[in-house]
Amino acid sequence: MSTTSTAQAYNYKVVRQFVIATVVWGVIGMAMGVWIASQLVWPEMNLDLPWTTFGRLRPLHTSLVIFGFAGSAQFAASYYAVQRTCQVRLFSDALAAFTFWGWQSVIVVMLISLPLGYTTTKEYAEIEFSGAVWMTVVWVAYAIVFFTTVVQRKTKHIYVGNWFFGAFIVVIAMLHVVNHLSIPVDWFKSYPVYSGATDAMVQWWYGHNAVGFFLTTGFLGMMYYFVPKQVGRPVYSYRLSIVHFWALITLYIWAGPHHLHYTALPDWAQSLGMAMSLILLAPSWGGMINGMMTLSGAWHKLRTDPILRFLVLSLAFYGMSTFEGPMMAIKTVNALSHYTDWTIGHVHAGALGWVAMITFGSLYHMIPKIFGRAQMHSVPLINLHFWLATIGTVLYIASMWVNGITQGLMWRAINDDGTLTYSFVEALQASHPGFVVRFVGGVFFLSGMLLMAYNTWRTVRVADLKVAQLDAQIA
Amino acid sequence: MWEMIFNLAALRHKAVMGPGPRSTEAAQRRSCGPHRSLVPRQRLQGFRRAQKMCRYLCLDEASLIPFADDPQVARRVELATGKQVKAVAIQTHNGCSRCRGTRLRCGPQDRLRGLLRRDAAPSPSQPRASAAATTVILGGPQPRSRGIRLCNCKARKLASKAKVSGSFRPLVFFHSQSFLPGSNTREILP
Repeated sequence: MSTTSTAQAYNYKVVRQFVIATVVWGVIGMAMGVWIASQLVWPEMNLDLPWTTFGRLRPLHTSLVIFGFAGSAQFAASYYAVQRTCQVRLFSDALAAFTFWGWQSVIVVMLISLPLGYTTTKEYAEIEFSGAVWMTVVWVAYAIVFFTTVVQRKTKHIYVGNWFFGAFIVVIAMLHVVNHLSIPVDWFKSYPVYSGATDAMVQWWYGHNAVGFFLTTGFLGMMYYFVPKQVGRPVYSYRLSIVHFWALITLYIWAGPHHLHYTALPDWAQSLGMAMSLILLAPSWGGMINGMMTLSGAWHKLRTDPILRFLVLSLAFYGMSTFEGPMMAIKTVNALSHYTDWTIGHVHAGALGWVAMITFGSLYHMIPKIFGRAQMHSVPLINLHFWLATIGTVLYIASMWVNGITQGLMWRAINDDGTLTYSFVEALQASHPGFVVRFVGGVFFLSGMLLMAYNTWRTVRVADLKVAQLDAQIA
Repeated sequence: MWEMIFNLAALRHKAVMGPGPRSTEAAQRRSCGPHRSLVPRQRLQGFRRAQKMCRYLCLDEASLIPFADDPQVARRVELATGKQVKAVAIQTHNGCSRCRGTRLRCGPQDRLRGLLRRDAAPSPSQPRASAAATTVILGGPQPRSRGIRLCNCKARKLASKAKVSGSFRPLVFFHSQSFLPGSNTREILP
């Protein structure tokens, strides 16, 4: 009998399921974004129906892309990476399957309830009480699967990517539970236990850390696995990765108040949020530099590898948006940028440039492996997707910068007698060209996503699961 | 004055820390795993410094974890970086029915029971993890009477038992460690 007879295949089934879900929710969520962008250009695109107004579809767009697209991507990437770096099969196939179906049901609840107007009105936490409780149950199951797999690992060391995934799971659980503490009056209506400025502070503690932990930490975990794998080089500095991990999770949690500058929040809390946001630049750039420098000696691969291009460009956008964020958190800059389209541009520099791009790169890396193919159906299509996504992102964020600064300057302009120089409608009219460019950028990005869906479908259609099974043998 | 202060500080530092490690290899050997027991007490401070250095070396190894389960990539990375991608969990304890290699809730009896079943040589047809793993295989199939394969949970205890009895000769493989000359498995093998 062989000593390796207990070798068992990694659980790729759940990874495959989450990968497909990522692509599906990506298409739907981004299409929703393009739709609401078109509503700002042509208001009649709201179809004069209550369910399709901007106010209802915008939270649906954010929920679908954050929880549906980015969430499913992180489930897929974390399940894939944790198995391969810990050299064990995922703990409990049944529980892993539960996390898949449970998470998809959460997204479906959002898809139905938000257009119907059931909302907590809290940004990125719009799902009502019963849905939020169900989400918590699924998340706890996810935590059990992930951490038990880590505990059962055969490697001595817990790879740094798993630390990031672990922090993402733990902190999101904490944020979600605390922000959703509310008193239900109905299955689909509840009122938060907080009120006034406290409620706002808790909401933005959650809101900022949703960005910090749902859209950054988990994706850094993804970066620390997929960038070295795709480059074929170990991470530039493992020590830096550990230092920036602890610095990032220590600092991110304090930066929420910068969303509430010049509000009823106490001034000291605003200043603290600003200071912490400025310090946050260091660990954020630590991750970006570490990822970029991993390409040392392998930059030539960018000429031929579109997957690597996605990964590297995502790091560039990560660096750019994590510079822009602390800058916008400075109170004097925020006086100009707050409530303008600059904020929307900043968010999308992170969401499209960082989150989506690194997801695309990771999915293109994973899909052939988990479906038993040598590579994706079409590499030129990946290349085309890269350029569509890049052009779309640049159009989006550039138009929002111009719009944001225009709006900020027009809103604050005053005449000698102290009256406003411009009315709100004049600022809106000045923003219209930017809305058109943003819509075009969104169409570019969505077209790339559709290409990815097509490429994935063609790859999956000829999947060889026996090869995938062989590849999934634990060493 | 400053020169005097610096000299005094340097003297104090030497007195506290003791002489430094002679070489990187020596530092690694002294501070990794079972070598801890080989460090004389009087050189504890020097050992701490060596342990710190060892941590850096181990971190370097940790950065190679993503490549350890992919033989082709591992070889390419070895060629590109000159670093050795070590075998991960290739010959660890995987025998007993209770823990199946995870070492959870696994007592010594279970381990021994598992060993009786699984002490045969690895099959050449089984897929291997990395270039370093190949080295393990080159070690050759071990006859049943000679060796057992264990994880390092109680490896050192068993190794000392073996020295006493003379008949029980464990062949110990460590998690995340390659079985190469100069690696830290050397001293504890009977």
